[in-house]
Amino acid sequence: MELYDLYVIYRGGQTIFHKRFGTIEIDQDLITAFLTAIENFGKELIAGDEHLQVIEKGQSKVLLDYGQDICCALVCRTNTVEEVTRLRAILEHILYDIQIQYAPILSAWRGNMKQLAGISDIVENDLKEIILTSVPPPLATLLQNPNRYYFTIDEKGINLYNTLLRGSKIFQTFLNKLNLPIELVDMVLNEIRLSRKNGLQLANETNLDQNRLITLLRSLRLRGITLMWM
Amino acid sequence: MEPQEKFDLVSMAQGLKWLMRQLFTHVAKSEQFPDLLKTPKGFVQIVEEKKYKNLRLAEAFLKQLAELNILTLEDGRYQWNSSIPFKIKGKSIVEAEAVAIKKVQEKALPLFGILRKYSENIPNILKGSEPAREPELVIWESLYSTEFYSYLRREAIQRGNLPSNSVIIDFGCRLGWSTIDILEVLNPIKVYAVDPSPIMIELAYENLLSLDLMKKVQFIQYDFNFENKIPIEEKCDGAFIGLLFNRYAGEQITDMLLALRGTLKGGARVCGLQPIKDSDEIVLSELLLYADREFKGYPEYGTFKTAFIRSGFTKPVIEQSMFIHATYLAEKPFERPEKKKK
Repeated sequence: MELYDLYVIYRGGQTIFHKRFGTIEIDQDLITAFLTAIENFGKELIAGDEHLQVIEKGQSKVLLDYGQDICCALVCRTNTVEEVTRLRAILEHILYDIQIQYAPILSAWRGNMKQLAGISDIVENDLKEIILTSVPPPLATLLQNPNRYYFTIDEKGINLYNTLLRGSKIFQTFLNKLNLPIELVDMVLNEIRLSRKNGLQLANETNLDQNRLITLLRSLRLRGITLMWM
Repeated sequence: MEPQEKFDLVSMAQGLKWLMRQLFTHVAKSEQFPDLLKTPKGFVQIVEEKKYKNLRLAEAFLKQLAELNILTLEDGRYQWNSSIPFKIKGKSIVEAEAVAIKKVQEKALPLFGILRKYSENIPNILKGSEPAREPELVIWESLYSTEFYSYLRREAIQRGNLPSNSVIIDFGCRLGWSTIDILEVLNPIKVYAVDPSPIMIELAYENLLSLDLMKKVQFIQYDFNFENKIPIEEKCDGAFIGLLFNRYAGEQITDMLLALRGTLKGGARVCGLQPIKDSDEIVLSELLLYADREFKGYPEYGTFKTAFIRSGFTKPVIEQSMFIHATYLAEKPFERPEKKKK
């Protein structure tokens, strides 16, 4: 299962939120115009009140869910029916959470994006479990783009680090290979606990070698300690 | 192969049973059973009052509470056992219990956290919620890397008589800890470590790289879609399967073995770590595991045996209900029954 993009589209076709998870960049307005056109075409072609639920090509899909004022579209790749079911449930959750929190604003929205700034937190929170079970970008990609990927850690991550990882032999062996003392790991995690930072910022703030730092952060992300966003 | 140091399994089992008892008592109390079952009630009445939807699990749950003497069961009706706090244990029993609990805490501490989390979710599962699984690999790594789990895997390898200095498949390698056991116990020529999860393979690769053990290992992501061939051209001398059959049920076990046989030489040994039960009833040790999305249940012996024989293996030998081994006979190809199209 792999996530590529999430779009939140306001009625009329304007993208009010876009989150990219993959490395391929597509003009978001192009995508939302396409989705809106397909939806309208579907209504013209096939009678009925039901909305388009999925656009599918091979294992790649666009899952769609509709609310009163918004539509959520998740571009993804899935291998099994269970994965589709799971992602659809999460998409419904995202739609529901956005609508609940922003209902008064959405019903009469005039285009002020600042009013919808918190959608990012809702999406990240609802997708967190999926993100944690997906493979992060290859190390080479992270090293070539140190300012593109941001790292964060939440309270659960800190708790897991302190109780399960910090004292583990295999993690210590890994750190020895990188020649990084555990205290530096503590320092890095404290930095991203306060605010999300990319590899370049962290390297500057901690005076650590950027490549070793990013290798460490990728490993922590693999283990589910930190989160990584574009 | 050097015999490994003895591990007090009896003590561990006792400690785990104590842990389960504590957890189940806590769940029963959180479900208000002391009040609900002040007077005896039948299964149907309990299910209706608690709005349980998963009836098979609910039945197993109540039966296990009765087996643990948390509830009494008389004439098909359950009642809260209010005499529990007053039962006095002998000194030797208390001491043995304390030793057992300490052993579990020393050798398999992460199990406490995982089973407790499962027990907290069991009431929701009974009411029809979907099971879940902690996504953070660090949690699973902390469990798979324990001395306890390593001992069990190595015991399975030794009892299974996997050959040394040979080519072995680690079928369902997860985070690489079984691969490490295979490398250290058997000194193989090569290990094919196979798993469906790409993220687990990534971390397994990192673990083996950190330990300088990658020289003889090739990781293969195989989605366990058994209609596709496992991408291993070489014929292997043996296979280790660790707790994989928990995640598959019924015909899928036969499918898995049929896929595996394509990678084995005739006479290859297959062994593994897999709790097997002798009936379809849900047993105490598996009940909490149903809170895990991946768990499909421990295989029942009859089904399990049939799967092995149909796939061209000898009847599996099961030791201590969890160490399995068999031999691949390489007889004429088995005619796989045509799958009905959906």
